[in-house]
Amino acid sequence: MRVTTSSAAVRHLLAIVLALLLAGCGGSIGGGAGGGDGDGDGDGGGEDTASDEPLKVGVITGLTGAYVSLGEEQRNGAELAVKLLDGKAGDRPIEVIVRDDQLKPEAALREAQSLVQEEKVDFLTGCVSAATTLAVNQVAKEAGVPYIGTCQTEQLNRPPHFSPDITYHLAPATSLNVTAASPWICENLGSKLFLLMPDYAYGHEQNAAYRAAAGDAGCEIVGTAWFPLGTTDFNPYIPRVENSGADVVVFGGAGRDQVNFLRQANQFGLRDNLEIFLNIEDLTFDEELGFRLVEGTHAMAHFYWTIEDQGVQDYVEAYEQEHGRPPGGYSVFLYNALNLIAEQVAQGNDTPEEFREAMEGLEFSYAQGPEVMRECDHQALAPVYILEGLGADEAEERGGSADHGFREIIETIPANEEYAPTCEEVQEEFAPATPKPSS
Amino acid sequence: MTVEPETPAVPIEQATATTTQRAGTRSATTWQQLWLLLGAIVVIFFTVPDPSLAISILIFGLWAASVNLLLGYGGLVSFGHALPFGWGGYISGLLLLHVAPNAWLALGGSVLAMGVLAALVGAVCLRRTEVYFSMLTLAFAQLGFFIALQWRSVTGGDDGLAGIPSPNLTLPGFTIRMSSIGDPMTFYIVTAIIVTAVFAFLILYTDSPVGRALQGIRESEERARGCGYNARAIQLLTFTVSGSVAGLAGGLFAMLNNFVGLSPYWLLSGVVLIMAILGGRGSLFGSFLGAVVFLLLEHYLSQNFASWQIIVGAVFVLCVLAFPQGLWGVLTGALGRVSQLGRARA
Amino acid sequence: MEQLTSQIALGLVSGALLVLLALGLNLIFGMLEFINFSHGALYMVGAYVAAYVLGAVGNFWIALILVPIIMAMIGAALERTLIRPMYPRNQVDALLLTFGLTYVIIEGVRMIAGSGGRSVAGPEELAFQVSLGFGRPLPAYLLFVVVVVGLVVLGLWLFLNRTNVGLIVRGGIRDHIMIRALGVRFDRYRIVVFAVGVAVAGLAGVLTGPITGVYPEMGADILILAFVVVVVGGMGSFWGSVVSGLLIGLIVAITTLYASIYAGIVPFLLMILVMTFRPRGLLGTT
Repeated sequence: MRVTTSSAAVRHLLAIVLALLLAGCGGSIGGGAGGGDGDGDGDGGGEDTASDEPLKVGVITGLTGAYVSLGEEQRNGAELAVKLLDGKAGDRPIEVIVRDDQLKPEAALREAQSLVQEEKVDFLTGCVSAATTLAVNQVAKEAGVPYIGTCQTEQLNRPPHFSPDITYHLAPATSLNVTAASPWICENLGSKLFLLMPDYAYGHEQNAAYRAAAGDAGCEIVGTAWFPLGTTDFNPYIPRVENSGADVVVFGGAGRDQVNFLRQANQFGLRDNLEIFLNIEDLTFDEELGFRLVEGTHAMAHFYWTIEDQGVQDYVEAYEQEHGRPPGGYSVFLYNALNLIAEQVAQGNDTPEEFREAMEGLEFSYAQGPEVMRECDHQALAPVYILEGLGADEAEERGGSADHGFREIIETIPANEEYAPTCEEVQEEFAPATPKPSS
Repeated sequence: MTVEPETPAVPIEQATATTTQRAGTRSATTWQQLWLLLGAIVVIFFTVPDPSLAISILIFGLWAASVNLLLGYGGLVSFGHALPFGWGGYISGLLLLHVAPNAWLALGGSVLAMGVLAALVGAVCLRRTEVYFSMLTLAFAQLGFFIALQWRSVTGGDDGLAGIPSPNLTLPGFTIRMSSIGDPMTFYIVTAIIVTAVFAFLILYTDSPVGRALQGIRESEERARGCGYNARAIQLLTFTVSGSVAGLAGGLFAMLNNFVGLSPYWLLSGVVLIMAILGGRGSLFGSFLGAVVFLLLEHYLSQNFASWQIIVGAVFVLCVLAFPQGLWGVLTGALGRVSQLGRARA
Repeated sequence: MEQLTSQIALGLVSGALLVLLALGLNLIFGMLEFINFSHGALYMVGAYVAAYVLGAVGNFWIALILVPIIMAMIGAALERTLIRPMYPRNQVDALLLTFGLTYVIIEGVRMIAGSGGRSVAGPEELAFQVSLGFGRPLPAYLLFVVVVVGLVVLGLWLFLNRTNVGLIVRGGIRDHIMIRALGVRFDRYRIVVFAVGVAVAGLAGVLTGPITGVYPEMGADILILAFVVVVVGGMGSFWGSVVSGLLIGLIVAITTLYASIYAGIVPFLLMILVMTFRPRGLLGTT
């Protein structure tokens, strides 16, 4: 504030303020938006819907921040689904509204609130990080809008997050894939595992899952080391991995962490003595890795573009036509989510209650192979694939490209409820044991 | 860090008001800030189409004002103001979850706890000045972030603290349920009343002898000491007040979202600094305005332009370079000239 | 024991890169009393320039020479346009300006080069491992980085102490009218110092590329750590930054070995400790 500001100036400002106030009264809190119809606790959404009223789906994903390539994939997947559906769910036109959560929970909350209050969306979906999915789920719960989660987390299916009225989870719960893949790892790669895990929820969930699954699978966990998210320097971790006596190092980081680790492991010749298993794979990571770093590593995935399945291949073809390259693993969730929503709405299941009834136990197959929506925790059970990275020569023959390398599907583990936490387990809050610092 | 004593702090013209006559003028304009705030609250109420955004603006405006109390009035750049905001949210959230869904209890708890925390952190940080002060605040913020990340059983770690119930606000005679999605209008009005009251308190504080001494210390700590002021105590009191207000803002934010998320504290601290400076360091209302502009820019630009941050960054650079007094300074300067012109004609 | 010695060697390697970043930052602060928050962003730009140069000429050694020169020119241009008006202002404004500049640079790079990162190939000549006689063998490239950092430290020290640039700039900060009266074109010296600081950041970018690849946010987190190094060593203290950079690299590496979960927070704990007991930093003077 300036001393010289006269009170006249302030009066001028107040006049402007008043003018603005009179000018804009449409669609605001004061203009009567919000109010009753978003009213949480389950009774919302039951209004009659004229057949030509657009079906609004809000997509919240990370379009800036560390996982921007995954976020862009998700947007592509949603848009492709709408395009292939000719923009219609039955008679209703589909309108997709995409918002950026910047990978920050506070932005995710704001965008989710804006989507339910301002845009009055009928469904919410999208996310690339557990922190934002749980934030969006919270808003969806308050607003009574169904939400389909599309990123890996153990929490979305459990209290205090899970709400049977609105929450659905298309991406696998972290432990689901780990339990499915562990026997294969132990049988084929080695029986002593070292876990190199990102120090955030997803890493701790993996650690807990491997420790729970290893015994039955015939493995032993010889150590876990934690690295902060966004670590650039993995060098100090290398001697610890080597001296642990492990046969296999399981790497739990995604995106740039994974790229950095593989690059530095390569410089140290880590792969000469150890197998590397990646707990999460995506074509967008492979784009930064190239053949040299992909070669010889193993990974698990819920999707790879070479899956032999008609639905998958139709989707891959359409995606390649649209974007000039095969899809990675994150667009498929949104593609499936939009297809699920559109199909159910077309069948008249457009209220949260009807949608829930239709979804529970539903068997479906869009672009990820045959899946089933488990009734107790709304977890989609899908196949898990084990991938082996090929070198340049072999890969190029099989349709791989220098842009994203090539991984061969060497094992398909069909969807099986046994891999998921039991319906009793998901009634409890998930609390991985606090890790011992030097475990 | 404190402003170098030998460099004249040109941007903050308020500091030059030393004569009693001018100080009198300042008092008048100081209180006009409150009217401006009320005006802004009404305008936001009627114009911002997204209720939660409108409520966020009020909360971030309050938070920005609290950081400006340190920055503009105290000349202390805190790079750790996300600490009381973030943990204020946890305190409110935990009280609502585990003790009782009572808004007074939650907000009171946040204010009190963050006041104590700020007093402790301030006692360490204020022993140093300038960059060292900023780096220490940053270090404590990182420490707070680390604890929030690791103490999963309490804070939920980076998954966030979810399922916070919407609280009840008991007043003599009736009770209001504060649900931001179910009844955003009530939530907005309650928030507006709280923000206005705290704003009034902050104005009182800056206009009090303590507040004036604080500004004196910003200009020259030695001179202020010479005048018999206990500079350290005054700064510590301000740091504590600022921390409490940030804690209150954090508590309100937790209620708005029924959720407390975790994102890197140094980034969050940077954002609130940008808001305060964009709006104008010279006044509390200026920093409020900065929050309004920043959040509206973010909301509308981010939907249309993926690289919206480059615009925010460029505006910010321009602001620091050419208009150190911020948007509010530019606005009042221009209006001051207009009204002078008007008077000359009349 | 072998594990510990390996870890110490690796800690020193990590520390060496921190030293390089911190020295550029500290040079600009110590000489110009200017806090350059955009140092990390300029380091990132250096890494990108290196990636482009490598893509164009395919030779790491040319990039190693060329990039610091390009970055020095960028630094000089920046000094001329944005930095110079800030000298008469206080340090807070300088910090804030460069803070905003960081946003602009990072977003600008995202717009030009895309959000995804890219790989940078290291020199083929150094793609082997060297046995040190203790611990595990280390990649030759990492040892090469340490040698380069050593040479830069030596070169900067000579630049500051064997030329009169250091003397003039320090004198000019105290009393620029007097320096000008002596017929010295003080402004030019200031440009040189700023440009050298940015060139060092660029060099750090070139050297890091083959280790971590390049991506827009690469300068953000490491800058905070570089600030910690500078403050722990003592702001304006040349050898302070060297010692504290190596120390922090070492401490982080050893924490990684025994309690990896604390690796991210120990530098900040160290800073609070040092600030409490040695307010001006390890080697700082009042």
